[in-house]
Amino acid sequence: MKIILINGSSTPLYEQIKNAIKENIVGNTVSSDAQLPSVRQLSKELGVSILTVKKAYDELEREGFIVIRQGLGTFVATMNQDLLKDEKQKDIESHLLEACKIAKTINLSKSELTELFNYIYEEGTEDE
Amino acid sequence: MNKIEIKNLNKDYHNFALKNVNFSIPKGYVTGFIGRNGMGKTTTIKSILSLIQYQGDILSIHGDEKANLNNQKIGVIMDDSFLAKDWNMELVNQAMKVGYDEWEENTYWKFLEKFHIDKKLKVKELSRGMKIKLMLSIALSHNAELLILDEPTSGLDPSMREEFVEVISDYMQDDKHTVLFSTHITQDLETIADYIVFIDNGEIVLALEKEEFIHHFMILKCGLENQNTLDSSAILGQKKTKYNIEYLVKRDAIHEIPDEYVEDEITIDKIMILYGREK
Amino acid sequence: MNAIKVFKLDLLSIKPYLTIKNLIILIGLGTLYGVLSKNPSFVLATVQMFAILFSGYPFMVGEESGIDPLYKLFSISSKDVVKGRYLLATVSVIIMLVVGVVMAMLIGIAYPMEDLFYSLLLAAPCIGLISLIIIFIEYPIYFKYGYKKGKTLTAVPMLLLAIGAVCSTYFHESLKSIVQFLVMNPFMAMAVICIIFFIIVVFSLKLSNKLYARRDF
Repeated sequence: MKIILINGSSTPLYEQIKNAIKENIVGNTVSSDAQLPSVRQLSKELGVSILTVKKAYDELEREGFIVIRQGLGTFVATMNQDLLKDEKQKDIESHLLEACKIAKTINLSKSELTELFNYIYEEGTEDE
Repeated sequence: MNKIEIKNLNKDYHNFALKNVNFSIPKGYVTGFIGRNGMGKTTTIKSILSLIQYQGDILSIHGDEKANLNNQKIGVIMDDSFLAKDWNMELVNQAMKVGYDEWEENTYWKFLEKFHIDKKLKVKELSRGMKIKLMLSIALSHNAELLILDEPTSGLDPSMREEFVEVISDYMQDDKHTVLFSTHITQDLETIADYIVFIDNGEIVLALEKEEFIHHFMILKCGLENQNTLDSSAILGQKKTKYNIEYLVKRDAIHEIPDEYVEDEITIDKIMILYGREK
Repeated sequence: MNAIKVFKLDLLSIKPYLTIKNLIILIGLGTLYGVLSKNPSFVLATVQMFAILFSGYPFMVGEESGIDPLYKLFSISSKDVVKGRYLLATVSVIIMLVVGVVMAMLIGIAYPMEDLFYSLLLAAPCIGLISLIIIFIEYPIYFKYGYKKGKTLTAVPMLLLAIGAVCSTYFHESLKSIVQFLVMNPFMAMAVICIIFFIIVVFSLKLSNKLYARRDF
């Protein structure tokens, strides 16, 4: 698992941790049902306070990404495809939003953008 | 929640007094204790340890049970020495063996080895850094459930401080352990504190979870020509220079930041520096 | 028991001061006075002076190094600290008496003194009691004021005692008759002395307890 925290960022630490763990889960660096470090273990490794990690874990549990089992530990939730799809879709949406914003600055029309999109979708995925 | 509760703590000295100090130390977490010198941190800590007489109640709360604190279960690091100056590390060991019912000799020697403290050294021959490490070794060698640390890292170089904080972090892996950490070095608190208690002039200003504590305050800056436009009841402290004024305000009291003002990053350091200043 | 803990800890704290050097001085002075005076009591008295000196050391180290707060950290009550220190003082006086007797006997082999054994037997408990009385007068002062301040303050009762001793010479006649009475009735004498001693001990202990319990560290 990879977690890199940036001090002095406008994003609070607990949110950075939450997002990093989400990325690891969605990107499959940790598999479904794998055990995650305990709140205290992670707080020590990352050099942050216990409550910071606890907050991140609580939200991840609430959003359905992890499961905290009393006495057993914290585990990645059995990933249902819908949840993963949701996350990836959010990613797509934010990238598309960026593309639209940039398009508007150079006055690219919607049909031109759609054409570009189709082209890239065909060509881009062919290369892979 | 399980905690150590300090209720209505009062202590009178001729030139200083603790006035109705009330706060809790949640068990299983690190509580940072901040305040300028002479504002009551050490007096409060001495009361918790029953080193001084006081009025009020200091209790350990576990579920429905309330009990007095047991010093046998408390590890202490304080500026005041409590070891005979001419004791070498072996005599210290013997003294602790007599005094602490649950003294773990092996743990003690392991820590001394980890910190590179020579057995033959006498207490008076230790540098400040080594004295702190010795006290830490003692504090962690008798099954203490609570660590009370009174400015343990002042005078230590940054790498020693990190080593110290790491050891505390190790200690906190056990959720039955609790730490009260009084310090000026707010960077250590940024790393490890879960809660913050702020004392000023013998009174508790604020005691909250760390993020909430910091968020309670706000820093606003403006040019000299715009001073006195803020509601003075919202101002907790200020610093005026030739080119600007910096205000510490209560976030709740400011509904909208006036145009002439800019918000700056709020840190525990800034809170300590500006609180009560130049009002 | 916690008083025993204090006993052991005080011993550990003054251990660095119980050096060979001190021992040599003790033996040296004791021998000197013994030989000069040809009186074994002087050996005992000299050795007792050391006992009285040592009785202040736990307070000295306690103050300088924070041993007293250390007792609080061990959850040892003020009462137990007082008990432990009185115990230590008593034990050290007894040990010093034995040391003094042994020294006097050894000196007596080289420099014979009159009625050595018998006079030692008589002198030892007396000198022991006097040492203890001095210590028990000093202790409440040490417990309240600590060592540095206490050292100067203990001069006061000692001065009073000295004045009392001088004044008593004026009552030479009545003193003589009292002494005669005591010699006539040794058991009653013993009883009286014991009662006086007991009163001093109890009063001293209670005072020490009261004064020490109120202290802040």
